[in-house]
Amino acid sequence: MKKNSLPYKSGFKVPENYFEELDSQLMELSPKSSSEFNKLKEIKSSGFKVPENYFENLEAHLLDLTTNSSAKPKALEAVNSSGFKTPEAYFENLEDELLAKLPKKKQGKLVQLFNKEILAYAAAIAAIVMALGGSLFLNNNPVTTWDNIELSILEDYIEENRIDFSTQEISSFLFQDGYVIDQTEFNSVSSEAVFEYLDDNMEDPDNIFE
Amino acid sequence: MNPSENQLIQRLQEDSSAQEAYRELIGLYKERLYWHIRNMVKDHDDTHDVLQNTFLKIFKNIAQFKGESQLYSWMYRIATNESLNFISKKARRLKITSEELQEQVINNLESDVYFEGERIQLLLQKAIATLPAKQQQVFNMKYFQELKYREMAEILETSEGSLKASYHIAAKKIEEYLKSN
Repeated sequence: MKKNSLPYKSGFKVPENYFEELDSQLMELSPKSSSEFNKLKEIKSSGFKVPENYFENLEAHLLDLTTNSSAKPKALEAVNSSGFKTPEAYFENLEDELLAKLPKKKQGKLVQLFNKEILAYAAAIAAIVMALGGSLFLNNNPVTTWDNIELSILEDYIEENRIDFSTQEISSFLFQDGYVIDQTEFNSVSSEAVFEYLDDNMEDPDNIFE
Repeated sequence: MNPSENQLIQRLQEDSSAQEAYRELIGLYKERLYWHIRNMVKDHDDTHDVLQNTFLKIFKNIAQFKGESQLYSWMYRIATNESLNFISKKARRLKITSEELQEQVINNLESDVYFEGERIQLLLQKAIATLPAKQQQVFNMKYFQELKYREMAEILETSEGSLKASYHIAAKKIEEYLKSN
């Protein structure tokens, strides 16, 4: 495109007296005097302030929250131990004592769950179950349930020797606080619950061996 | 896990060397486990019972230990669980809560022959008892046993950050308790 074919003016316009007034307008935007301008140059601070002793305390505060802060609470700086003591020579004899309590070697897979006393009680309960089974059909009043069968009743049966069941039948019953537990409650019992029960109620763990 | 620890575990898992290895294990860890339990259970006789149960459980279950954590972390966790179970069972037997039991035990410390009995130490035990169970654990492990956060994180299976925060809060609470008592 040839230059001569272009218009020599842009076509832009300015307000009337724009350039005449421009100098004064620009002066108003700059520091009014050199002294104020110099003052501005001297001011380094943003004008923000912090609480008293903030920076002096900051390091300690941050250290409180860091990994290296095993610092004891100030009130305990003089306390070096928990205050607990042990009997004399306690630790020296411990190995022998603990070794003596190790379980004996595994001998077989026989598992005896209950001692003879509990088996006898279980046998008595089975007797009561048989008795109740008949009475429920004959007489609806009073109603005897598993909730109110007491161990003392079973003791009477044991003393009177009204027991004639195999250990397998007897071992199907369980006790809690002297009352027979309805077997249906245990249909969904997990192994973990059984072990926890044994831990809580088994006085002599040697009764369980395998 | 270091080679010597690996060897000890192998010997514990073999019938022929189990007893001897068990004696060695007890010798190595008895004091650390004892004090860990004692800080939770407080009474010496109770601690002895829990320590026995802990080592028995370790012996019976060593075959199941797969080395996914350090041996000591695993044993420490067993000791922690045995201590907590002991406290719960004792509280249930006495028909009170675990917190009430702890309060009783600490109140009895003053007359306990196996407690030095300085006022500040008794006050510290009372202060610790006011903390939630987890904070008590963290405080005891850090303050008395001086475990590193990394070790505590592995034992308690919690992040180091949580443990640091927990210890920080526990220490502040204890300080406030001591100041006001």
